[in-house]
Amino acid sequence: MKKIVFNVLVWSVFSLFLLNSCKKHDHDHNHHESELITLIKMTLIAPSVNDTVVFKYEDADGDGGNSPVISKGALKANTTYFGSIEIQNTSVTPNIDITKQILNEATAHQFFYIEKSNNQFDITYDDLDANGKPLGLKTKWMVKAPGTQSLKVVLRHEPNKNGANVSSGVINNAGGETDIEVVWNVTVQ
Amino acid sequence: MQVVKPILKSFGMSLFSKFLLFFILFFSESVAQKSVMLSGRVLDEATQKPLKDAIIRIHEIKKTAITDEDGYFKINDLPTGHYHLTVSHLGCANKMIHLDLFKDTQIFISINHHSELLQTVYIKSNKKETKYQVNKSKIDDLSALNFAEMAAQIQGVQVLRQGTNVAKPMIDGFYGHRVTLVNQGLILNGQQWGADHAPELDANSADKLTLLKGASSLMYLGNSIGNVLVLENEPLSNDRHIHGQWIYNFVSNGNGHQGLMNMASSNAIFSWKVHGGYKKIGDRNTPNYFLTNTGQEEWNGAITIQKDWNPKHRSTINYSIFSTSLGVLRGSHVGNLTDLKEALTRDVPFFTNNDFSYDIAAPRQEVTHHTWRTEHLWSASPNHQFKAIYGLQYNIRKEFDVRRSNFSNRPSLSIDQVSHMMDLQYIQNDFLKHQLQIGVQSQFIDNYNSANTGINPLLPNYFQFSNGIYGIVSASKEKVWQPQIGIRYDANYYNAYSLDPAQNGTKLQHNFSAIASLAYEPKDWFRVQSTISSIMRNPSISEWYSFGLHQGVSGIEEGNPNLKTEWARKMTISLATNIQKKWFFDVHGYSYWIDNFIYLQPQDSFRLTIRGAFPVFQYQQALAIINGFDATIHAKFSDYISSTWSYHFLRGDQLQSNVPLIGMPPNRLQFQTKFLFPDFKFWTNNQLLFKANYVFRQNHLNANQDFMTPPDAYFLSSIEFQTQVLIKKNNLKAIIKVDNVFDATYRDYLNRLRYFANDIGRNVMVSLQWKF
Repeated sequence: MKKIVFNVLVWSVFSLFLLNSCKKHDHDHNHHESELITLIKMTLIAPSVNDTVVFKYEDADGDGGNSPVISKGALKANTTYFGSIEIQNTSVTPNIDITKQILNEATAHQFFYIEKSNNQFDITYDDLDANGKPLGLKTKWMVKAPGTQSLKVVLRHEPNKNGANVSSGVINNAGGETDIEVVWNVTVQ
Repeated sequence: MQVVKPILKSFGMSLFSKFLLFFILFFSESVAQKSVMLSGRVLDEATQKPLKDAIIRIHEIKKTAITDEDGYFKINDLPTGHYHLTVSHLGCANKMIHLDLFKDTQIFISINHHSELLQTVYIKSNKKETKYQVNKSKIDDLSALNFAEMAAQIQGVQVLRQGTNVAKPMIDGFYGHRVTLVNQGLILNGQQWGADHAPELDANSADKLTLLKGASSLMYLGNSIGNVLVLENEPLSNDRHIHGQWIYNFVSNGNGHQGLMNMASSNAIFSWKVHGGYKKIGDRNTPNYFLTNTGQEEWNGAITIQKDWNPKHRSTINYSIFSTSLGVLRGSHVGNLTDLKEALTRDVPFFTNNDFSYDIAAPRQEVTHHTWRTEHLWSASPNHQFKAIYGLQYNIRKEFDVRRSNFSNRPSLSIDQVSHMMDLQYIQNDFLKHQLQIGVQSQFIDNYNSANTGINPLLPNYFQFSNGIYGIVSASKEKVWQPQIGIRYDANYYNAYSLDPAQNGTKLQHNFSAIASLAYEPKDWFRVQSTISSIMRNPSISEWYSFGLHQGVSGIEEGNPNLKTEWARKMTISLATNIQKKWFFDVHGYSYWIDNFIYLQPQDSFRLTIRGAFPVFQYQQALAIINGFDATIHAKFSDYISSTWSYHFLRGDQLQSNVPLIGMPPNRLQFQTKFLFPDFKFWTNNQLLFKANYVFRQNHLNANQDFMTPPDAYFLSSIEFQTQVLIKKNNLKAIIKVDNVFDATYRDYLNRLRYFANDIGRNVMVSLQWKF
C-alpha cells in the first residue's frame, strides 16, 4: 500500500512537470527590436544664406544583413550652420523616435563630432542637459574654407561627462558605450 | 558468512557503482552474546596498503584502538548497540562510520590517505580506468570556490573565465559543448555556448566530482569528445541520528560570506538529506583598484528522499534549485570595436569606482536552475543490477546589458530551457568474467527565447530530441592486463526556428563513438595504460545558427547551417610508477586529431553598423590537432614532509592553414610542499601547505590572431593551514588560506577580462566546518 502511495506521488508530480513544460510555445520569432537604431539624420541649416543640408545614415535591417545606406550634401564655405540630429528606429511600424529617449536621458548621453584633421569646421554644443553639461543633439557650426573632411559622429551612452575636456567635445576621456558611430565625408564648397 | 541487512546496502552498491569505495564492511559469523568484539583493518584508499597507527575512536563508550604494523585493530568487551566511530590517521581526513553491533564484527575501512596523490597517481578503482576525482572532504574544503574552480583541482582541468563569477571547466583545451557536465546522472543542458555562461551547478551538495576520460565517458548523453565531468551523491545511510555539517566561509577579496548546511538522517520509512547554501560577495579587487560590479549572490537548496523497499529495491527522489545573480565588470561592457580598442589601452578600466560595493548592476546575469529527479535501483542479484532515472530540468537565464533606461530592467537575453531525460542502465558483473554495462537514454530539450527582450536573439528557438544506446565491457577482477571497451550510438534530431526563414529546418544527426583501453599492471609499483578513442560530435545549435551580436564577446557571430559532424580521434598513454613508495612518477600524454573541428574564425573585414564597426566571427571547420602531456613527481620525504612538482604542456594547431588554435591553455608549472604536524592535545591533522604556480605566456599564437597580445607569464603562491578538533563525536575543521600571497598583478590568458582589467589580488580565506 505504501509503495502504491509512493509511486502515485512520484508519477503525479512527474506528469505535472511534463504537462506544464509541454504548453505550447509560439515557436516563431516575434521580437521587436524597439531599442534598435536604424536611422540617424543630421540636418544643417544656415539661416543667413537660406541653405538646408541633410546627412543620413540608414541601416534598416540592423546589425549585419545589408550594408548601411549613406547620403550626404555639400556645405557652403565661411557660413554658420545650426545642426540638429534626429534618430529613429525604422525597422518597426510605427517608427520609434529615439531622439526623445535620448532627450529624456540627456545626462546619460553625449554626442561627439570628430574631424579627421582639425580645421574645416568649428563645432560647438548648442544644448545642455539637466546638469548643465552638453548633450550635442543641437550644434553650431562655423564652416571654414572649401575642401573635403571626414567627420565622425559618435553617441556615447553613460559617458563620464566630468572627464577632462569631455564637455568641450573631446572623446578621449569619456568612456561609456558607443550607441552610434557613423562617418560622413563632408564637402565644403 | 551472514550479512546484516543495513550493511548490505553499502556493500551492494560497491559491486555496481562506479564510485570508489569509502569503506567496505564485512560481518563475520556471530553468536548471540551480550558483549561483542569489534576488529578490523584500516587500508589506504588509494593503494589498498595497510595503515599503521590509525586511531579508531568509539564515541558512545569512549574506547580507542590503534592499528598495528599490518593495519589491524581489535576492541573487546563492547556492549551491543549503535555506535559512531571516527577513524583518524596522520595526513588523512577523519572518517566517520555508523555501526549496529549485535555480534562479533570485523570491518575493513579504506581511508583517504595522501589526498594529494589521488589526482596524480591513478586510483585503483573497481573500474580499472584512470579516474580523476575530488572527494567530499576536498569539496568541503573548497566550498568557497565555484564549480569550475573546484574541477580545476583535477589534473588536466583548467578554468575558462569571464571574470571571477563566470567560469567554466576546460579539459585538454576543450570547453562548452565539448565537455559534458553530469549532475546526479542528468546532463546539464544549460547554455553551454560561449565563454560567458557558467554552468548552473552547485558542487557543494554533491559527494564527489569525477572526470571521466575513458570508455566510461560513453555512459552519458551529450556531445562531448570524450571528457565528462560527473557530480555524484553517495547513497544515504540508514543512521537514525541526524548527521551533517555546517560550513562558514569568509573570503577577504570581495568581502564574501558563505554559509552551507548538509543534514541527513533516516526514520522507519525513508532516509533523507537536505542541503542549503547562501553566498554573497561584493566587488573583487586587484592589487590597485576595485573591479566594479563583480559581486555575486547565490543560493542553493536540495532535498533527497531515499526509500529502501527491501535489500533489492531502492527509490530516490530529489529536487534541487540553483539560483545566482552575478555582476560582470562594468568596464568590460563595450559598444563597438572603437570602444574595445580604447578599453584595451586603459590601465584602469572605465567606470572603476573607488569604493567597495555589494551592488550588482548591469551588465549582470540572473540564472535559476531547477532539477527534479527520480531514480529506481533494482539489485536483482549481486551480479545483476538495473537502474532507471528520470530527470527534469528547467533553466531560466536572463542576461542584462547596459541599456537606455526604459529598457534597463529588461533582459537582453532571456532563455527558458526545459529538458526531460530518461536513462535505463543494466550492469552485469559476471559477463564472460567481465563487467558489462549497457544502457539506453532519451532526452528532449525545448529552448525558448522569451519575446520581451526587444533584441533579436542570438540563437533561434529550438527543439532537440536525442536518443542514445551504449555498451561497455571491462575486466571485472584484478588482473595484470586490464582491457576495457565501449561503444555508443546517438541519434540527435533538431528542429530550429531561425530568424532567417531560409535557415529554418530540421536536422537528424547520427554519431558513432568507440573507446578502447588497455592497462598493464604487472607489479603494484608499475602501471601503463593506453586509450584509443574515435568520437563523433555533431555541431550544436549555436554553431549552426548563431546570428547577430554576441554582446558578451562584443562581436558579430555567424553560424553556418552547413557545418558537418566533427570526428575526433584521440590517443592517450599514461604511465605511473614509484620507487619504494617514496618517489612517485606519473606521466599522462594525449593527442587529439579532429576532422572538421569547429571554431570561430575572426573575419578580415569588420561589419559596419550604425553603432560603428564590429569584428565578425564565423563558425568554420578544419583539421585540428592538440597534443599535450601532464607530468608529475611526488616525493614523500618522511611521514611529515612531502612535495609535488607537476608540469602541464599543451599545443593546439589548425592544420589546414597551419595556424595555432586560439584560446588554448598556456603551459604551467606547479609546486606544492606539505608539512604534517603531530597531534597536539586536541588539535589533530595539523597541516601546512605551500603552493606555487608558474603560468607561462601563451607564445603559440600568431601576432594578428587576437585583439591583444597574450598576457605575460605570472607566478602565484599560496599558503594554507588546517587543523581539526574532535569534540566528542563531532569534528571541527578550520582552514586559513592566503591566495596570491605577494599580491601580484597579473592577467590570465584564459580569462576574457584580461582585455580590460588585471586579475584579482591577495585573498585570505577562512573556512570553519562543523561536522556532526
